[in-house]
Amino acid sequence: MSRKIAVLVRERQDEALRMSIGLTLMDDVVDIYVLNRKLESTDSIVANLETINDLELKIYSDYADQNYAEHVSVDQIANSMTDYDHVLPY
Amino acid sequence: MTFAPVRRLSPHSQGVQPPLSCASFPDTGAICGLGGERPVFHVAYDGNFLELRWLLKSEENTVKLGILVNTDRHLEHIVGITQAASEKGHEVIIFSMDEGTHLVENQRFTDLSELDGVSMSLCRHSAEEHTIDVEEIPEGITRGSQFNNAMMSHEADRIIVL
Amino acid sequence: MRILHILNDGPREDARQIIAAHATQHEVEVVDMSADNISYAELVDKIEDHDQVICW
Repeated sequence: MSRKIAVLVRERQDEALRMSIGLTLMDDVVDIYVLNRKLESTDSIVANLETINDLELKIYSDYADQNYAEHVSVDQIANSMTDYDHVLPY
Repeated sequence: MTFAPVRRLSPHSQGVQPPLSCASFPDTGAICGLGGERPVFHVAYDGNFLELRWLLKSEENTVKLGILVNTDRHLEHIVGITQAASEKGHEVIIFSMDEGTHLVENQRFTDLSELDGVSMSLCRHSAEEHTIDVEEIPEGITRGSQFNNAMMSHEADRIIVL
Repeated sequence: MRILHILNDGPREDARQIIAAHATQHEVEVVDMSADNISYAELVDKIEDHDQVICW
């Protein structure tokens, strides 16, 4: 049975995104939440975002000015957390 | 004779295989069903009631605990939690990545791989990024990849991040 | 739902917001790992007993 995993992206965005991609290797559902910050535009983050887009992973953020993510409120993020088997802040 | 509260459960609905053999205990009147060598049910009769108790996996009170180690700041907590979980009979899966790979240079961390029920792996890519000499990592720790992290997340009942 | 929040490095604002939101609808317990005298045996029991564990 597949698991549902939420990755909460904070300071170390590059590694959080790389880990999110890796977590799909067991066919588990992986959703990404970027907490209150804009994703940086480094080469590796952009490359990871392309892979995430290819894998059709969902990205959400409470940060309004975010090109790659669906905007949600903090309360919506908190409410959605209970749907996951694992919540992994990074 | 007193009995613990009984739960009448279908073994099949709970994923318990039917017992392969039974052992009786005449002094207590109890019968124990065995699945391989592991007891899977107890039966007892007190003259009035027949009591049947299936032993479920959840009743063994063990969990698979995953520990994602992505910093090198919490060695004391990692050691304390892993030792406590191992002593309670829980299975512990430890995966190190990012800054957490620095801890494989500390013997207190690597010694955890020798505890009962503990398995350890790390992201080789991270280790190399952090200039860790992966050839010096003890044999009991798998030099792996993010696939090991995916397996941990897939198998673990709980995951903590330290 | 019983949710255990573990604060690895003491209170943080992003954790505080999520914990506050959870506390309105769920049974929430917070363990601050920066405190002294952590009982790891008790912590393992809490990790086992709660439905969800989030480490900040």
